[in-house]
Order: sequence, then structure tokens, then C-alpha cells
Amino acid sequence: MTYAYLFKYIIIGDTGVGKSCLLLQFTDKRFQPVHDLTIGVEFGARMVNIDGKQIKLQIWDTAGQESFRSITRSYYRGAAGALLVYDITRRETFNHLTSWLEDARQHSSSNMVIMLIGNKSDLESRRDVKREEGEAFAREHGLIFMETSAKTACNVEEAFINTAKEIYRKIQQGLFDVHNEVGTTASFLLQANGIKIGPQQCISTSVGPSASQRSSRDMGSDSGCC
Amino acid sequence: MKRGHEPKQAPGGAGEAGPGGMAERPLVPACPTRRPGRLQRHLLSGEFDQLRDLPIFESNFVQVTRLGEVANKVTMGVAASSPALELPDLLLLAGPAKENGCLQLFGLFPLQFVQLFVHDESRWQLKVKFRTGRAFYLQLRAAPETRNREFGQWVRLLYRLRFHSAQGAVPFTQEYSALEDDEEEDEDEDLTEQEEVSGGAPLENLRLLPRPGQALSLCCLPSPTCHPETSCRGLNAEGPGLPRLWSQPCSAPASR
Repeated sequence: MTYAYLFKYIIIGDTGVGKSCLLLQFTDKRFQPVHDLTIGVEFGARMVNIDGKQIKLQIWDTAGQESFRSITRSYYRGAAGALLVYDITRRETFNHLTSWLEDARQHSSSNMVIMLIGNKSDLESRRDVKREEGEAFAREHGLIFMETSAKTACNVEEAFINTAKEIYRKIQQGLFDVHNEVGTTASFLLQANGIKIGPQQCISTSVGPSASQRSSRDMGSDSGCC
Repeated sequence: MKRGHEPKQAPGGAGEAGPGGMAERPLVPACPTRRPGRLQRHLLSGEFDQLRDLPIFESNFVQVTRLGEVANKVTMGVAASSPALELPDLLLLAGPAKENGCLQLFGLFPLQFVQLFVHDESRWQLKVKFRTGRAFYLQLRAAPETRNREFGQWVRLLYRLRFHSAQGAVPFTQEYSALEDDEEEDEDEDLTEQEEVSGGAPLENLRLLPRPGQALSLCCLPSPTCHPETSCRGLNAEGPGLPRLWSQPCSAPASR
């Protein structure tokens, strides 16, 4: 299937926070309560439609365990978006966010859009991290924030799609340096930011401010279901 | 791993064999013009920038139960994340996407967390076992005239991984039946897995990877004994010996 853009995503965060479950829910609309530990990287993909453009999300689901971390961080490079996930029922996964964020920022483009996700919002009775804390962390570090439940699918679509919208908005606004004076091609520069232009797409039609754009900061950190 | 050819010629396949690799010897390309395998071509297609220049040794397989019932098509390859490495350090698994049958990369796994065994040499079957305990069986899919040679290349590669891998990384170990259930990680020096072949997981429980959406199509599968499909033809063993990328002069697998 053709697409206008391909965005590379990484999903990062402590082990057991639900990264693979989020991916499974997004790609297959299924929840699998028992999941093998991820080793290395597992891949998922799905097409989404943003502003009438078909966009392929290529998702790299990384292992969260500390022993894999030095390996998986080498795959952050070239990501356009990151889902940084913690578990709202485990305080320590929230406490480790700074370390994950440092890693992500160090090993990827400064333009990478990062969505902070507090997962397992269905487990309200076991909540250990207040929603406001997640919001504050996101605000402090310039992230988008959502609480999700991979189990109930609450906000899962929105988390992936809003990240794509924000990336697309950056492209439209020209925040990705797609034109430069030394003649480097636009597609090359986009690729460096984890974005690929799909086959037969013309960069001149895709780049530039759009009347329909809006800040994804406004996009629904609340879609109402969580 | 050392590559004995230009980076852009790196793509390997089960067919590319020749001496070289760890030893400081000139490589003798057995088949310099062999077209890349399916997995290599998929990575070269442009969606995986970071992986596109990896030299890969790959073959097509079908996933089978322990008893040999056919489940899914799988393409498995090993690759080195850096040309400076003497041995591959990554395992790549791919298979047809459920939507369109096009090859789709499922996962990329550090070989230090994967154990590879010869499961049944007479059926050209390997066993892949992750350190997490997850395991599955793969039967080589190749033309009858090249199947033994291609499987032999895998066996030699497994041997090389087992006996020449870096300290601390032991991707190829022996597994006795007594250890099968308790997931101990004792290692032995034989090339073959010596567990008892009995039972077999139902096909619906066989998943190469845990993501159901990536389960491979069950249609159009060859029987374990049938001739390979057209898609196999791009991957052929080429002469005896090891895959070119990781070959070196060696003796037969030793038993310590």
C-alpha cells in the first residue's frame, strides 16, 4: 500500500509497563494479558490517515529490561516519534522516566516528538502515580501526555495517532529542515529525522504551513474514556 | 566480522560461501553476483535505514512443530551490527504480512540472548530458543539439490557461533532433554540438540513471536517434503563451506 510518509516510532520505558501490549492493541486491537519478555526489538506497523494523507507508522518495540538497554538504545536513532511509557500502578517506573528521557534525547534527533504515556489506567484502584504528576512531568519536559489502557484500548489509538499528528504538524510548519542551502535533498533530511517520504510523493506538495494544522498539545490528552 | 567485499555488495544469502571471516585470509567469493536474499532485499527496499547495510546470511524456513507439522513461513537471517565484528551478533526474523503476504520484519534479537540448535538434521530442522524460554522449530525450505549444502552452512555457522563467539556470549549451546523443562542454561559442546522429540504444540499455539497480528499465514504452505516454492530460488547454497561472511578455515565440528 502506498503512503505519503513513513514515521519511525520507538516505544521505550521500564520492563512490564505494557509497551508490547500497547503495540498489540494498536496494530491488532487485541490485549494479551500474559506476554513474553521482549528481547531486542520487535516490530509492528500500521497505516493511519492524517489530514487526508496516508502515513505508515513503523513501530520499534524495544526491550525494557536494564540488561538489554545498551543494545536497544542503539536503535533510537532515526526515530520521528517516541512513546515513553510508565505504569501508573508502579511508582518506580515513573521515577525512571528522567533516565529514559535522557537516553532518548541523547540518541535521537532533537526534533523527535515524545509522547509520555501513563499506561494501565484501568487499574485505578491500584494507582500509584497521580495523573497530575504525569501532566507536570510532560509539561516540564515538553512532552505530550496521555493516560492509556492497553487492556481496554482506552486512548491507545489516540496516543499513536496524536504523535503522528504532531510529527506531521512539524513537517507542515517546516520545523524539519527540509530545505537547505547546500543542496541536500529534502527526503534525505527528513530521513535523518525518522521520516520517509512514500513512493511518488512530491516534497513540494507536502511541506509548508497548512491552514488545517493545530497544535497537538491541544489534541486530546483527554479523549474522555480514561 | 569482516567483510571481504565492498560494503554495498554486502548482502549475503545462504548461497554465498567462501573462506575468510575471522582469519586474515583473502576471501574468495563463491558467487559474487548472487542476488540478495528476500530479507536482504526487504531491508534494502528503504524502510529500514539502520538495517539496510547489514550483511546478512539468511534462508527461508517453515515453522514446524516438534513433530514436524508445518505452520508458518519464516525467513531467518543472522547479521553483524558492525563490519568490525568477526561474527554475527544479531538474529533477524521475518515472514509474510497477514494483509498482503509481503515480507515483514518481525524482530531483531541480539544473538547473545538466542540459542540455536540442530533439531533434526535429517529434516533440515533447527531449533531457535530465546533466553526467555520461548522456542520454535524451523525447517529449511530450499531446492532439493541445494538443501543439504545450505543446511550444512547453517550447521557450520552455528558451530562457529558456538565455539568462536566472544566471551560471555554463548549463542549456541547443547540442550539435553532433562533440561528442557527447567530452562537451565547448561551448555554442551555437541552441535545437535538431543532432546526427545515427542508431542508437539498445536498449530494454533505456535507463534514465532507473541504478537498475534504478526502470525504468519497458514495458506500456501509446502508440505515438509514438498519441493520448494519459487520464492526459494533466490536463496541457494553456493558451494560447500560456510557462508562467505563468517567463514574461515576450520576443522569439522569438534566434540570436547
